[in-house]
Amino acid sequence: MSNLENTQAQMRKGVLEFCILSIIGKGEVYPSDIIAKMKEAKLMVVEGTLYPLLTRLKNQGLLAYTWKESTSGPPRKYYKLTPIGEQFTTELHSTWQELVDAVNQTTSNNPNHE
Amino acid sequence: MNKTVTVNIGGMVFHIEEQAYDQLRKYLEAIRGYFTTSDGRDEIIQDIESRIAEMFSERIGTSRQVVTSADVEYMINTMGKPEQVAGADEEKEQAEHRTWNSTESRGYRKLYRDPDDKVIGGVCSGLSHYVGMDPIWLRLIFAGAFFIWGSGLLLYILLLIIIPKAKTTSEKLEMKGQAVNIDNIKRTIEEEVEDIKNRISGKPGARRGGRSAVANFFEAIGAIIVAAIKFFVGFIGVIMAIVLIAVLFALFMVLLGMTGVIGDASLPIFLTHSFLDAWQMNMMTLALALVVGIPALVLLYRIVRSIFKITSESKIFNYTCGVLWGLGIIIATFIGFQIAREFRVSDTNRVTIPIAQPTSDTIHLAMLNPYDDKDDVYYNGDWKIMSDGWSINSSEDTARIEEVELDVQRADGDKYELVRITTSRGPNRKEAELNARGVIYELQQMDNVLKFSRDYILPKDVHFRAQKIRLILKVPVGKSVFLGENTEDIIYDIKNTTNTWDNDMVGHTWTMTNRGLECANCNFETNSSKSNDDEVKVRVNGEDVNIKVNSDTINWDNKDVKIKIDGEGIIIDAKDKK
Repeated sequence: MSNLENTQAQMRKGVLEFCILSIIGKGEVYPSDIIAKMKEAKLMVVEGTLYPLLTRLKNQGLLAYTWKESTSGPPRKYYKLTPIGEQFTTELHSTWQELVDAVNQTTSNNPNHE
Repeated sequence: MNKTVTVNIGGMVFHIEEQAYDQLRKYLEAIRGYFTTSDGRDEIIQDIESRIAEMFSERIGTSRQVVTSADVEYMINTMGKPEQVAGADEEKEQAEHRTWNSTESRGYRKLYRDPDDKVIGGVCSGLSHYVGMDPIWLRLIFAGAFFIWGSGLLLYILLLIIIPKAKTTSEKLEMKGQAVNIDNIKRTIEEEVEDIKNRISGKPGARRGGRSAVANFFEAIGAIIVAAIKFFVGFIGVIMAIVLIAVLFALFMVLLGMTGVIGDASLPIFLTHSFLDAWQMNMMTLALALVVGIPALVLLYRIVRSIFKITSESKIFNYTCGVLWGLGIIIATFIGFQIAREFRVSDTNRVTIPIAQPTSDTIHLAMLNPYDDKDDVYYNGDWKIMSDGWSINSSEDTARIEEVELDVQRADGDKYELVRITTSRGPNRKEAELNARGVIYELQQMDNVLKFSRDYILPKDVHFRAQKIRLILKVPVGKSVFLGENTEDIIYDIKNTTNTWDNDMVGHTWTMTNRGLECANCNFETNSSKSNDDEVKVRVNGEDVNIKVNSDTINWDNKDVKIKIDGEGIIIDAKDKK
């Protein structure tokens, strides 16, 4: 049981970064939007995970943010991809396609295994 | 009804219940612990705080005003546990692992008093958490130690002062040796809530029982071993602490003895009744207790703190100790000046002691209280005689002091006379003279024998002010004096025609002549014919040497060597040594 959970967590972790970059790539968003979408897709169990990831991606130069006034409460950080981030995401996308193909191929050849 | 605090979270103001605030603070601290500055820690925390603020304002809405524990718990569930928050970052996995471990090790046990399980101040239950022992045994030990001169009570009070009380949830966790993470905080809070519920519904002790049932057997064994090792390491420190306590205790007893409350320590009684007024003595006792006791107490405090790794500093304790120590110094200085004043001037009291004229031509001098032995400390009947010329009687509150000198001089008339000159110090001449008069000197005469005491008695009501007695026996010309056994203890620089040393004069009969005392049946090398003031007699390597300095010659005369230096040269005449 815990082995399964662990593997699932590892799998989610792997695609988390790609998914976040993809969400941001569709247009300027602020963290709560990202969380909403991730939760919708059941990719994220807890919200806290997002913030360290965003900070790291920003520090790597893949993301940039701007402060925007909000109607309720203090100003919010809105994230968007930098040119490097866009290129990075495109490359991840093709890697993902290859990965999906590879996984499909291997799992269909060995139907006994999950 | 709960107390609230106002906090600024992500730029928004919230009223938050104290307990909830504590949870929130611990949560953010725990998260902070997983990141380093290079990870952009401050930014991450800031972002998380912004989100928390958003969440709280959503949950509170407009109907409520206060953030409660439930809100914080909801937030923690949504945001994830600190390890989950940090765990998302794959690259950080290694580092995260390290931080996790260090957080675990940060959860080592700390010594606190347990306010939840206390009989008096929670000292025993706190200690029991620390050493992993049931508090009942520690309580029994302390209760038992109470009967050993109350040392249990003393130690308990000391520990009560030194060990801080576990006030916050994290302190309670540290006390029990659990890592301070959100899980444990939550569990503790839940246990507490459960406990309160049980207490209300009348179910006792559910909390404690549940915890021990959960404990795994091997885990328990491991904990015992760890506790034993810690206990052993602390053992050395504990021994040091015990030694210090013993020293403090001894000091305490000595001080009690000094004030005469208990015991009969002879020196303190001597001080009490002979040196100082009663109130001066009390002040001095207090000053000494403070000046010596306070540093000892502070040292003890430091040792106990380092044994139990107590980091919190008691400012009140430090401040109080500093002030008390300073006070001790001030009192001691003040009393010191007062005593110094008592020794300012000197005066003498001169009395003629009536003595019966001896039937023969010779008066015999002897000692009233000869020593049995020549060791440093003597016991002579009731008198406890101490070295350095001090002897103190502890049973009668009087002191005997060996400051007595005897001189023999020529009498003007034809009768033996004895004069006693007592010198003393005092704040003024009148007081000094009174002090001199206060001492008692014992003297016995039996026919031709005069027995002198080697010391004088300082009665209880007379203070010691460096009194000295000088006795002068006046011998008429033609009459003799015999210096009996042990009289060398009191005779001092008696002038005689042969310049014989005091010690050599003992055991001989000396006759007073117009020139001074002469020994009739002695075999001294007589230099009297040369009555020359330039001649000195010195002792070199334990042998007497005569050095004579004239206007043109120098003579060096020893029993082995004679040296003569004059205008013609140097003559050295060495005799054969056998």
